Amino acid sequence: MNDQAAVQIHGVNKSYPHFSLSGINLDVSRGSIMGFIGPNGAGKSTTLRIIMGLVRPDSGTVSVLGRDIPREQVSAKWRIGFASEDMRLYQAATLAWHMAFVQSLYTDWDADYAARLVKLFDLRTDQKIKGMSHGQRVKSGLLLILARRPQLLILDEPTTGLDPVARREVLNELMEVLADDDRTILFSSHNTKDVEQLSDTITFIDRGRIISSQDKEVFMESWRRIRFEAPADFRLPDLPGTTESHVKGRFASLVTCRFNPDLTDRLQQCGARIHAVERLTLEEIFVAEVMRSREGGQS
Amino acid sequence: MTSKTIERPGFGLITWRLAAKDFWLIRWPLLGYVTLAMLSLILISIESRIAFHAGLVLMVSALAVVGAHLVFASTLHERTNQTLPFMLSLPISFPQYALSKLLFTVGTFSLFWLALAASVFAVVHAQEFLSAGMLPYYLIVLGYLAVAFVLTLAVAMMTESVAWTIVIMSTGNMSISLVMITLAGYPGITEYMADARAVWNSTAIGLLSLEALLIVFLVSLTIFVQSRKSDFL
Amino acid sequence: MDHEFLLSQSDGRPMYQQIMEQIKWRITAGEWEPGFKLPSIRELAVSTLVSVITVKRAYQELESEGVIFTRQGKGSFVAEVDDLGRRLQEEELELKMAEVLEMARSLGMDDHEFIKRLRDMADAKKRGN
Repeated sequence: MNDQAAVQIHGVNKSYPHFSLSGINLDVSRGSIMGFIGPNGAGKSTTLRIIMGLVRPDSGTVSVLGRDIPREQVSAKWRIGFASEDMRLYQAATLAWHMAFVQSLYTDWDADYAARLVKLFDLRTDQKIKGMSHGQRVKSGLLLILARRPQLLILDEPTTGLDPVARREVLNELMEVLADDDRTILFSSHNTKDVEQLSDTITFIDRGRIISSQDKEVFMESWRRIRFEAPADFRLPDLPGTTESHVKGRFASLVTCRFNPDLTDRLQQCGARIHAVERLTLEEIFVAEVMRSREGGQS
Repeated sequence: MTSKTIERPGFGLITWRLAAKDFWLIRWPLLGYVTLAMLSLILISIESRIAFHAGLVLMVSALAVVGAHLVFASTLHERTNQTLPFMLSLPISFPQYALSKLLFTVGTFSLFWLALAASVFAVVHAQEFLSAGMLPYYLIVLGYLAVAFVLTLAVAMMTESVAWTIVIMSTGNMSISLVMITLAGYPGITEYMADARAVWNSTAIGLLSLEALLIVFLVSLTIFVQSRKSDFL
Repeated sequence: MDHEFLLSQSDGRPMYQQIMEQIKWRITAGEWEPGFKLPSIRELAVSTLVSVITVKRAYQELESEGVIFTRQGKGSFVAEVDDLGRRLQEEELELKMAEVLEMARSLGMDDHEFIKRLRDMADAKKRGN
């Protein structure tokens, strides 16, 4: 398992005056893509910075591409591409300047791929950063990372604020990264649709805690909304995993995080007539998990 | 892919490239300051006492202005322009980053300082009406400017606070006149100012050594403090 | 090889099922014949912008249905079954028939009634109605 992990975090804690990360555990396997979802202020950015060695945790271990962070962060950063939402390039310089600068540091810069990306992303190398639209700036930043072909990409909101065309261009190139089964992506996003579609693993974070981290398919298969019709004297059986239930007259629904066919059987045994068993979108699952975690107090 | 041995630039080369990058990014303002400095050099070369002193004043201003810009271009602007995450995502350590900033700022300032100081020396020796006895005085004043610069730089890099930097910078600027006046009347200096030859007595050497030591101390302190930081963002 | 898989997020069904369906279509249409080598899981994931794990699931389900088989280290291939296309279509038909029957029963319709209606419909269509 150790060799298979691109990122391994155990027991990381970090305290700030008004916020703290507690008990963060994260494992990202090589060759996979993990989506990281959380409300604003949940600790996504802090976690990603800890992975990059830019913030030192109060306790816990961080290992990235087999290197101990923050001690060996320079060695790790040769192979990591990092882009955060609050990151900016030098406004007065051009894209070409940035490309030359990065190339002067990274000898494994692929100039052919970089030239292709300029075309794919519809960018102009002689354009100054300050003259670019938000989408062009984001794509420029990604180009600077992608052309180095890093083994690990850590991306904070890579598609946020992009128009549909730009988003598609970016997602295409990100998935191309995964064509190599030794390359890994960890990205945070508010766009649950993107995360649902692309991710192999999904991690939810809220209020400084990881509240859930599983394979995407496990999430999607475990959660269901069951709509059913209940007789007048119906009492909802105590089904483990029920996160919410509504009964209005004869019509009822419940949401469960531990779906299996026995559930519908039991409901039917109690007299319910099942109308529909629906899947939940990742967004609905996320909101339900956060609500559950907050009501529970601890996760 | 992982077993491929890639030739990476060494620590020194990377640090140099980082400093060069900063230099390149402020090349136009620097050109402006070079023009100012050249103007001051022209002025001091003119055979006129008034022109010489006007040139000196302009020179002091040029150094102050270069120093101020360099201080802000060191780390403060990286934070306000949000380019710091980009820099730190590169394969560099924070101490290395600080070192490159020092190389860039102190290096650039030194170029100006050395050029201007050398010019003053040359002009004073060339012109008959200027007494070489003023040279220790001029050098100590210029040295004070250098100390003020390094102090402001150290404060800027260690505190990362624009407010503190401005306080120290303003204090430094305001103190120059005071220093110049005090030094002019300072025993060990004042007696020899009218001499035709420069007198490098223990007072002069002592003051210059003190300035040099302060600069070395401040630079070392900055490197030390920056190396101890663990949260860079 | 053109791997234009048209997947939709607004389609209610999960991605892995859509992928399975599109693979089955290609087999039914004769485009992917028995013995044809499927794109690798990663290749398909990259070209359709879907997670590897989802494509893997689709392939696993197809394998358990006997539609494809996997050779360790070599890849996945369309099952060498005669008339696979027809068989798939017949399976599809069975599924739909079961759905419709269930629907009729839930309406309270008698099986005889239902079959009668079906026959009437077929006769009407034959008459070119």
